[in-house]
Amino acid sequence: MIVPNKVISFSESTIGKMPIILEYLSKQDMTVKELFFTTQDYFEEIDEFIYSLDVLFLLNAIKVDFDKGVVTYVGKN
Amino acid sequence: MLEKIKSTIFLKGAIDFHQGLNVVLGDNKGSNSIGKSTLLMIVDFVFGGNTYISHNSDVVANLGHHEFGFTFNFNNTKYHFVRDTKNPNAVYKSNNSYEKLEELKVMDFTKILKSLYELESDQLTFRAAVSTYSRVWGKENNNVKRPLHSFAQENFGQTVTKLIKLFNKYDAIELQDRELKKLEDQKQVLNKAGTYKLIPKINKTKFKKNIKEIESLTEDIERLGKSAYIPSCDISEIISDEMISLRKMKKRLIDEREYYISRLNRTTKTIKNSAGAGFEDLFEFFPNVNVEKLQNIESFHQGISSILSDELENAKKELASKIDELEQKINNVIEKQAQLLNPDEELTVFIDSLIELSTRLKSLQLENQYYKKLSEIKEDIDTKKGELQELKKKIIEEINKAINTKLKSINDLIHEDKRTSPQLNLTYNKYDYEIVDNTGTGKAYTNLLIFDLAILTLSKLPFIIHDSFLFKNIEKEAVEQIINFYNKLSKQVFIAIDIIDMYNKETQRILNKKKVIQLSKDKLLTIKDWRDSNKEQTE
Repeated sequence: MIVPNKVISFSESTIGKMPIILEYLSKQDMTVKELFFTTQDYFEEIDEFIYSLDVLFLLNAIKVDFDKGVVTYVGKN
Repeated sequence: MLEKIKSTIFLKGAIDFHQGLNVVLGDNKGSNSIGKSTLLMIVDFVFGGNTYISHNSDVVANLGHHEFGFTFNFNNTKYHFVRDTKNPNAVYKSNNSYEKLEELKVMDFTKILKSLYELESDQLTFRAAVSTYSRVWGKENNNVKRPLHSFAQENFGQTVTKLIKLFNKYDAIELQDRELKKLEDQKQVLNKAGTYKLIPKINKTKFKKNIKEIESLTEDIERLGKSAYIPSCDISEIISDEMISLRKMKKRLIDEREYYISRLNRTTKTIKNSAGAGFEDLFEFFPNVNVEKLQNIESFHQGISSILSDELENAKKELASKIDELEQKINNVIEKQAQLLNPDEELTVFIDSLIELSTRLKSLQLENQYYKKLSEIKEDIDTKKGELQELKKKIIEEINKAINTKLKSINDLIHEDKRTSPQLNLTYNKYDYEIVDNTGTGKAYTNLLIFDLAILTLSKLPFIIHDSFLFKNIEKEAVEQIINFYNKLSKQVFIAIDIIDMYNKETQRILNKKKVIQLSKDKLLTIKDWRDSNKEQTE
């Protein structure tokens, strides 16, 4: 489900949905909760959202301040 | 016809008989105990009678056991038999030397005689036919008022029945009688079966009540039947169509439930950890993935999960409730299916009432069926009884009329002065033989002889035997006429008579010509004379 394969199309895969998150983050930093509520319609289930953040973290695209719970787009600046 | 009797006890050895009149002639002194009646009784014996054994026991006592060889001639064929006094229950077929060849029971012997004499009626025995009209001293059939009785105590009905058989009219009655018996048997069986409750038994009131109830039941059943399936179509078809759509719906709901269950499982797993998510696959798309970070991804994942723990819980709850909802829907479908497979209450009530009505109808119909059957049989019995009564009446009237006509004609021949003829009044169960305007002994005996002659000429009766005592009281002219009448018959008539010089020349001529033996004090029938040692007389 992370990457597309013969049964999961690109748009259904996690990496296919990552740009949605990045699009919102490129405008402003958001708390994890804000980000979830804003984008949850694009995700079938909350796990997909969490995996998307996991992948974006692995690709060094985002940073999360766990104290404040804020997500930042690394490549914004 | 009887042609010959041979015996060692006969002084003459053998006695030959001929067609028509056969005369056993006594002497002109009217000598007693010379063997006239004995010979007639022997004739009766060779025709299968048994009185010789009981009444003439003195013969055996004085002469010892003895046998008679005798010959019948029918259409020039001779039939030889032997019967003895030692074993009177047997008659032997024999050759012309009277050697015993084959033992027969008397009953079988008389059957042969019956067939040879062509007595047609199935119901008639040979003895019943001839016994009454073999009137020999010693037999009890000489009551002038009861010519049909072969013995004094004989049942009146039986004597009449015998007469009907002799006239060969009884078979038709017997046939009807048998049918009637069959019907009465059926009636009895039905009644008994009813008594033992093997079949329903009802009375007329219940029968009528049943008819009304059957009508109303039939209407009820018809009404129920109409309301059952409108528009008429196959109920199984309806059920299977609905069944198919229900099954489809169930399948869809189960698939949906499976989907939500799998999502719930995924969510639950996400909350716990990120392992197994397959981040390694990312290298394929992003070769520069930070491998060091991959080692920390679990803590990152847990961090995000804990921030979103409420949301994760909510999602779990939402999925669980969705699954519950689907579960409920599936259960509803299953319930509907079960309902279709089992008839619902309304249908059960309907079928129950239909069965109840039908059962009631069936039992009422059965009751009435048996009642009808029994009534039909009863009616048939009444009809048959009526018919039988009619038939009997008709037959009796015919026979009675024929006999009376014959009696009159014979009476007129015998009495030149046209005396009133005797009359037989016959019913099925009784008869009387009237001697109108004349109570004289002589006329009474004449009437008895006239009666026998009438029966002999009207019926298949093969022969008659008239012993001498019958002629004793009859006036001279009447006897002359009777002898004249005998002489014209072709059937055998065996008579014993004596003191014939009192009759006219013609009568004497006939008697002498037709005599088979002449007996006198010096010429007895048997080889031994025991008159002095035994006072018993045969006349």
